Amino acid sequence: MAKQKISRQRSSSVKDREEMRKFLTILVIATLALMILMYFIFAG
Amino acid sequence: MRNHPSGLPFLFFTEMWERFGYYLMIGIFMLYMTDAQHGGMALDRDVASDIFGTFIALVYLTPFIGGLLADKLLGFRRSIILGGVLMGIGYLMLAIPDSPVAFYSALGVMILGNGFFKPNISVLLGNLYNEERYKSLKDTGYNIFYMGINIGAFVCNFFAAWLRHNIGWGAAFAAAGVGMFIGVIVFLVGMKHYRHADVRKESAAGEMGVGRMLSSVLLPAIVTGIAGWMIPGNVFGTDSTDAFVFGSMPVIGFYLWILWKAKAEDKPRIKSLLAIYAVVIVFWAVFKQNGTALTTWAEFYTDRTLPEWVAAPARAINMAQEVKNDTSLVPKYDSQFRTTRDAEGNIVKEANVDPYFLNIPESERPPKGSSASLISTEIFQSVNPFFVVVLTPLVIIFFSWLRRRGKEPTTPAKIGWGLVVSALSTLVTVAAVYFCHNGAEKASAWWLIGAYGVITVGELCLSPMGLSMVSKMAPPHIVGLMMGGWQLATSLGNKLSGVLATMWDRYDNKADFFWVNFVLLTLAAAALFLLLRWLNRIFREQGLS
Repeated sequence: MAKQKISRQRSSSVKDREEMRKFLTILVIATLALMILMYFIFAG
Repeated sequence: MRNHPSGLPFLFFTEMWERFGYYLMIGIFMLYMTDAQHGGMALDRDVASDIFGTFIALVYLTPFIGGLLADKLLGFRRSIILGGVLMGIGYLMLAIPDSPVAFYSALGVMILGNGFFKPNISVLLGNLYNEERYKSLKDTGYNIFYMGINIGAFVCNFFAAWLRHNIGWGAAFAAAGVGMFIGVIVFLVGMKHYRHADVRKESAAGEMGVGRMLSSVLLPAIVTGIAGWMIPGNVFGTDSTDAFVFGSMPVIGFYLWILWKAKAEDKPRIKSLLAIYAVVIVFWAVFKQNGTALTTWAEFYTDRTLPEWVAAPARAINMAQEVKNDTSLVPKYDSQFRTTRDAEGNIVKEANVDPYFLNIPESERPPKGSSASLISTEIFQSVNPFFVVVLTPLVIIFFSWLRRRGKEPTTPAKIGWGLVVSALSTLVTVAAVYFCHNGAEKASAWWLIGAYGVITVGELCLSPMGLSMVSKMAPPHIVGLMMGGWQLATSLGNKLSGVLATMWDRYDNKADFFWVNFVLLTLAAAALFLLLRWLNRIFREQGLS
C-alpha cells in the first residue's frame, strides 16, 4: 500500500515537472519573440 | 525562520523584488509623465494624474480575474511566473523613449501581469501554512512576508533616484524590470518547496463558476466600459473616468443583486461589508494621492536641500540631485508651477533658473554657478514603508494595551478611527500650505514626512485587517466574491484619487485642495460612526467584535 502511494506521488511529481518544463519553454520562447518584435518595432 | 515552511524565504524574496519593481515604477511614474526638462513625456499634470489614477485602479482590478483563472485553470505557480514575466516586460517597455504606443502597451502588460502575480503569491503562501504543523505560524508568516513588501518598497526609490539622475529615465524603468526578473528567478529556484502547495480550491456549493462570472459580470463591465469611453464628450471629466464609472455599474449592480438574492440571515453581513467598502473607497482616494498630488508637492513646494552631513556622502556616491543655479532654457512655469503651451501645444520655454529655485529667494540660493544638493523627489515615497515598519509594532502594542483594559475598539470602530487619523494628516498638509504662503516659499520637508507619518497610522488602523475581516464576515459560499468586492473598492478609490489629483492645478490656493480631502475623509468617518452601533451588532453576532 505504502509503496503504491510513494510510486503514485513520484509519478505525479514527474508529470508536474514535465508540464512545468513545457510551460517555461513556451513562456521563454514567447518572451524572446516579443522582445525581438519590440526591438524591430521601436528601435529598428 | 527555521520553524517556518522551507518555501517562505523564496516567496519572501520573490515578493520583495516584485514590490521593488512596482514601487520603483510608481515612485517616478508621475515625475516621468510631467517632466518637460530631462527627457520625460511633458504631459500636463491633470492628464498625467488621470493616467496614474486609471493605471493604479486597473492594477487593483485585474487580481480579481487573475485569482479566478489561477484557481480554476492555470494553477498558482504558473500564474505567478506568467504575471512576473509580463510585469518585467512591461517595465522594460516603459524604458522605450518617445513612443506612446510602447508606453500604453507597457501599462496594459503591467496591469495584466499584476493580475496574475499579486493575488496568487499570497494564496500560495497561505497554502504553505495549511499543513497542521505550520498552522499556528500563519500570522507570523504573513508578517514576515509583509516585511519583504516594505523592504522592497523602501529601497527601490534610492535606486530610482540614482539611475534617473546619473543615466536617465529609461535606466530607472529598466531596473524595475530587472528587479522583477530577479524575483521570477528566485521563485523558480525555490520551486520544489511549494510544488505541494499549488492545490486548487474545490468549488463550494453555490459558488459561481468562471463562465457565469465572465458572462454576467465581466463581459457587461467591459461592454459598458467601452461604451463609456466612446460616448461623445465627457460625462465625468475624461474618457477614462467615463469608461471606469460606466464599467463599474454592472459590477456594483451585481453586488446589489447578490444582496437582493441572499438568504435573510446572510443579508446583514453582506450589507455591513458593502457599507464598509463604500467608506474605504474614500480612504484610498486620499491615500493614493501620494503618487500624484503629494509628489507634486514634494517636487516643487518642499525644501529638498540635504543637510551638509548627508549631502557630502550622498554626493560621493552621486546620490544627491545636483541642481545648478544658473540660467538655461527651462519650461516656463507660473506661480503655481503650471506649464504654459503655445498655439501648437508645445510647452513654452524661457531662459531662467532651474524651476526648483523659483520659490527660493535669491539671497538663499547657492552662489551663481554652484549647485544645491537635493534629496530626490521619489525618496519621499520611501517614507510610508519606513513608517509602516516602525509603527506597526507600536500600533499592535497600543491595541493590546487597550484590549487588556477591555477598551479595544471594534473592527468597524478601528476603521472609523483610521479615517479620522487620515483626515488629520490632510490638516498637516493644509498647515504646510499656510506656513509656506501657498508655495511662495518652500515648506520644510518635515511637513510632508509628518503627513506621511500620520496617514500611515490611519492606514494601519484600516488596511491590514481588511481582507481577514472580509474572509470572516462574508457568507462562506461567496467569500471569494466579497474579497473581490474589497479589491473593487480599493480600485474605485484609486481611480477617484486620480480624479481628485487632476484638480490640483485648478486650485490657486493649494490649501483648498487639501481641505477637499479633509472634508471627504471627515464625511466618510461621520457616516461610519453613524452606522457604528448597527455594524458592531452584526460583527458581534459573527463573533468579530
